[in-house]
Formats: sequence, structure tokens, C-alpha cells
Amino acid sequence: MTRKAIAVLLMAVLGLTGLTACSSQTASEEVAAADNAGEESDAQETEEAADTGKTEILLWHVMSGDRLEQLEVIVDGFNASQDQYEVVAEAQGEYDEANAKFLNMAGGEGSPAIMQIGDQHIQAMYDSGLVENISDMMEKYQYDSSQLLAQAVDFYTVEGSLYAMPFNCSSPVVYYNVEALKNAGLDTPPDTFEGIIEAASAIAEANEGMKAFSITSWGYLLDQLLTNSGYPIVNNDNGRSARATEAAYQEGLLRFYQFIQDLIEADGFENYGESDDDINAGFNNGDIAMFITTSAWATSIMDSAPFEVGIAGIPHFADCEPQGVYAGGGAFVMSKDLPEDVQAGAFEFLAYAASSEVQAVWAANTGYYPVNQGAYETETMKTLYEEQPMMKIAADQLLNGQQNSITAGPLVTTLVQIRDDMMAGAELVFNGGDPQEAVNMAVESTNQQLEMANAQ
Amino acid sequence: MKKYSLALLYAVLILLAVLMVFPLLFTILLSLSDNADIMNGQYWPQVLHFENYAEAFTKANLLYYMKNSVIVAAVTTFCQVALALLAAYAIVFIPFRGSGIVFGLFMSGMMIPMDVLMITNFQTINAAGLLNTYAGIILPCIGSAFGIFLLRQNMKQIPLELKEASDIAGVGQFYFFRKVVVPLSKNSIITLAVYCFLVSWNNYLWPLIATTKDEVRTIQIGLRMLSASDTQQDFRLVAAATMIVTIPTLILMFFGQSRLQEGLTKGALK
Repeated sequence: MTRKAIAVLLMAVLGLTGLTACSSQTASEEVAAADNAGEESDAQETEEAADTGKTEILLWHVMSGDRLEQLEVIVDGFNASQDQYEVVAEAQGEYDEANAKFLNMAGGEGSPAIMQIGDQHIQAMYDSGLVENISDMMEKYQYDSSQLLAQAVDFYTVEGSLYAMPFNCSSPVVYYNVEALKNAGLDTPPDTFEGIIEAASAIAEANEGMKAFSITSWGYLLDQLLTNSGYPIVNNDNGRSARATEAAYQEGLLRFYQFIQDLIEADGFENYGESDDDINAGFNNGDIAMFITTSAWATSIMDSAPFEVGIAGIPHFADCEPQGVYAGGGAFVMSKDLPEDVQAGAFEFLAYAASSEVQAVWAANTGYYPVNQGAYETETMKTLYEEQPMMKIAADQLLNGQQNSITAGPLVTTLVQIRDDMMAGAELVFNGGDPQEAVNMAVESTNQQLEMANAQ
Repeated sequence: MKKYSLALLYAVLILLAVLMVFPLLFTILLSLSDNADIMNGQYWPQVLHFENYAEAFTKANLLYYMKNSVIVAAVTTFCQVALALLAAYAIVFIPFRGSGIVFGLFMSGMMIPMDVLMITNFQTINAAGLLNTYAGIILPCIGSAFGIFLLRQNMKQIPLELKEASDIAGVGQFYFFRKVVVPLSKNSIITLAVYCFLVSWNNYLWPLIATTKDEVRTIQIGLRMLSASDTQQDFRLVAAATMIVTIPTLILMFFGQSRLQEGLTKGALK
């Protein structure tokens, strides 16, 4: 009988453990957790013992590959520049993954002092109440913010205060095959969507097997295109005058989808779905003459193409005044209620990362544009623009743009989903679907998500 | 007529084999190429760039991550097999009230995808202070309904008379388990172990979520760090690193292949 009781007990414990295919939270875990707690505190003690007396500033970022190396240069540079603080950079996957993790940790143990966010997450960060008001910080540490790029400041401003320090800014540009356009009698790509349709046949005739234009379905590119033509993404002045409650991109998006449909009819469009690498390979291969993607790719595209690559500002609709773009990309937020010394160190790092020299080197090695106006005056940038005047286009497109609620960019919690909605619609149109239907589908989803998010 | 159908069979098999092996061969080709060539659609390397492998090795710090992966995968495998063995044994050989319900519960667990539990698992691990520990990565993965199912099917083929005989001889449960059940289930155990090791080795999302520091991170995360953000992909490095990462699993496959096939089909027909 006792043996049976033991068996039942064993089964109960195992039952909990085995409930799911590969995961479950169980009693046995808690036991193991308790066992482990001892080990962990030991480990922490040794860590503190090994401390060099510097204050550790934890930084979460989402840079990988080549970008990771460039970021490490900045972190190492900061650590070497003073002996009070030590910034420890830890990679956390991609923007959306890192953001989810940060929000879930909710400032608990192991949360970073500084965190890199994508432009799509600024409203969610603000709503979470986990991040510091950067404008207050600037005042506290007497930082002169007049040097920061006004457009980038506009983007990351929520309710009148800056909530993130701009760091890696980029915006979409047109990359074009200089020779292919020249063959068709064009020096630069057409400024307007209508112009691209008109030029489509000339480009196809002058270059065998080449189509005029392509773009991926990436939602970020689409909302930048709408911005340039003066269309808002969400209501309430793009969420700038009051919290956004519904989609406002219907008209602009419909026109863009119709442009794609017309271009497909004119045989001037090649479909690469959502893959930036595919579209880049197609461009290098001579399959398309022009395509749009973020300026952050500039260096690698120009290095890899076997022909001369030109860069131009993104097109607009002929009857719209071009507005410019908003300062997309990424920025640093700072955790709230940090210990005084960590906060001081974290802010010092933010200031360092946004300083003119650092931003100049960062921009020159990547294709992001500097978020510090002083950077444009540095030797590094001057040499770069002299050697590669094309790199200046991305910055000019932003610097010469208007400054209003449209170009401040959309401020909305569900920006990630909105971009997904636009993307789903674009995929439909790329494959021959009806533009109006695609827009209806996107708007319906956007409004639903937004309503749900605002109800929380 | 028979010859004809055999030829057809081989044609289909060869086609399938090509489909299966193509991604692997393509990765090998890319891993030996120059990135500019790849971006220009030149997939057959003109010069073999073996140095890509050295670069991937140093750049991604692969050895370090590999050590973590070996620890995580080995411990996960051991725990999963041990727990599944005991559970399956209890279900098959120890009659108790509601054993059918318990088994049904296990099976229903197979229907719940890991992704659904990701956030709650994270909260549990976080609350237990296990972020950034091997335990945090391993614990949510040690229970395997599939493993219990596989071993149960296998154990059901062991004649119950053996158990009755050992009961009459006065042999204890654990002795019977150790001396009779485990040896007779060897193939299934090895199958489960290989399968579990591969799954654990290839796991990306959970180890990423359960860690914030590089110290305990596994090889798949190291691999991901090589993949570029916001810029053009360095395909040759990614391909070279991918090849390096697959080596341990390939070794395991060669070692356990015959057992794996035997074990997976065992109990399928009864």
C-alpha cells in the first residue's frame, strides 16, 4: 500500500513536469530554484569582489553582425574616456524581442540602465512608465540639447518631453543603377510615382531584362513614403496632438497600392516580397534599375554592387508637396529610478554616444546619419561626403524636410502592427490583389488592434 | 514491368534526396564564397575562401557558446530521458487508480505549443531568480510528453508475465526497472536521447528569452549574432558558422542513425 502511495506521489510530481511537450512550471522547478539560489548569491559575491571600483552601466542593444562591431567601438571608446563608469553592452536579439523582454522584466533585477529601442516602440515605452524623461535628465545634468537633430527630437518627443536619446537614425532612399538610367536618358530617378510609371517602358527598352522599380513590402518604408507625400498614418495629427485612436492612412496607402498596380500593368515592377536581401541581390544582378530601402544599407549596397550606384530622395505623388521623412531608426531609453551614480553614468554615455565625433564615425561606418548637427561639420563627415557625395542624400532628405506633425512621424502604441497591416496589404497587391480591398483589410485590422491597445 | 516501377521509385527517391540535400550543399558553397559574389548572384565560388571558417570561429566566439550548448543539451537530455523512463514505467507496470487519466493528461500536454507558455515560463523563471543560469534554460524543457509516450509504447511490448514473475520472485520495483525494463527499452531510450539532444541543441527562442548575458547563452544565439541587423547580410560568415554549428549534430546523427530509425518505428505496428 505504501509503495502504491509513493508511486502516486511520484506520478503527481512527474505529471506536473510532463504536462507539456517541452515546458512547464512545476514544484520540482521551485525545489531546484531553491537549490540554485545558494549558488547564485555566491556567484554574485565573487562578481562584486572582482569589481574594479567602477560603476557598472548595463546596456541592452539589438545590433548584430557588422553593426555590433561598430557599437563596440563606441562602448570601448566611452569606457576608455573616463575611469568612473564601465558600460557593459549585452545583445538582446531584435528590436521587438528586446522590447518585449524589457517590458516583461519591468525594471526588476537584471534590467538594463540603458536600452536601445526601435522607433516603433517609443509610445509603448512611454506608456510602460519604466523609462526616464530624457528632457528632465538633460536639465539635471546640464546637457545642451540644441545640437541634436530637431527632426529626431521631434520623433521621440511624447507629451512635450523627450523620452529617448536619438542614436541610430535612418530613412528610406532610392538606390539606382546609374548606367541603366543613363541608357534610358535619365540622370536621376523620377521625383514622382507618376514619373516612375512613365519611365518604366524606357528603362525596360534600354536595358534588356531589367524592370524599372521595386520595393519590399516592409511597412516602415511604406509609412515613410506616405509621410513624404503628406499623408498621416494615424489620426489626431499622427498621434501628436492627442492619443491616436484610428488609422488615417487610407487615402495615401490606396494611392500607393494603385501605383504598384499601375506599375505592374506597365511591366515595370518586380516582386521580392519582404526580403531586403533578395531585392538587393536582384538589383546587383541587373534585374531592377531602382529600389527603395533604408539608408542604413548604403555602405553595404554601394560596396557590393558591380556598377555605379546612385542614391536619391524617395518619390512623392505629383500633386503633393514633398514633406521629407521622419527620423526613423533607433534610440536609447534610460530606465527610471536608477541609483544616482548609475543614472549619472548612463546619461554620460548617452551624451557621449550622441556627441558629434562619435556620431560622425558611427555614420561614416554604417550609413545611419548623424543625430548631432555638429557631426556634419567634422572632418570625418566632410571627407565622407566629399568621397561619397551620395551618402549626403539621405541626410539632406531629412534635413531639408518640413517640420510638422506629419514629418514628426506616427506616435502610436501599435506601430509594429500597423506596419504589419500595411505589409500584408502590399503583399496582396504585389501578387495582383485589389488595392481597395487591401486597404480595407489593413484598416480594419489596424483599428481593431488600436482599440484593444487603448482599452488596456 | 517490375523493372519499370523500380526505376520510377528510384527517380522519385533521387528527386527527394536532391531536394533534401540541396540546402546543405548550397550552404557549403556559400560558406566558401566571397560575399560580393553572393550578392551578385555568383553562387559558384571562383576561389575557395576557407578563411571564412576561421573568421566565423573567432568573430562569433563559437567555441564559448558551443560549450554552453553542450552543457545545456546534455543535462536536458539526461533529465528528460530519466523522467520519461520513470513516468512510462509507472504507467505501464504499476497499476493505480486513474493511471489512464494521468496518461491522458500527459498526452494533452503534447497539444500545447511551447510558444504559448513562453511568457509565463519567463515570469516563473524570473520570479525564481533563475534568469541567466543554466537551470533557467534547462528546467522548463525537462518534461517531455512525447518521451513518455514513446517509452510507454515500447514498454508495453515487454510481456507483463516478466513483471509477474519478478513479483513472485520478490524482486523490487527498481531492480526490475533497472535489470529488465531499461535494457529492453535501449533502442527507444537512445532514440529519445538523440532526438532530445537535437531539439535542445537547435533551440533558439527560449535560451534567448531566459538570458540577458552572454555567459550562459547557447550556440544558436551566437549564430544569430553573426546575422546582420539593419544592413546587408554577410552570407558567407553566416553559412560558415552554420556549418560549424551543425558538426556536433552530424556526428550524433551518424552515431545514432540506425538506432533512431529502429526506435521511431518501433511500437508503430502492433
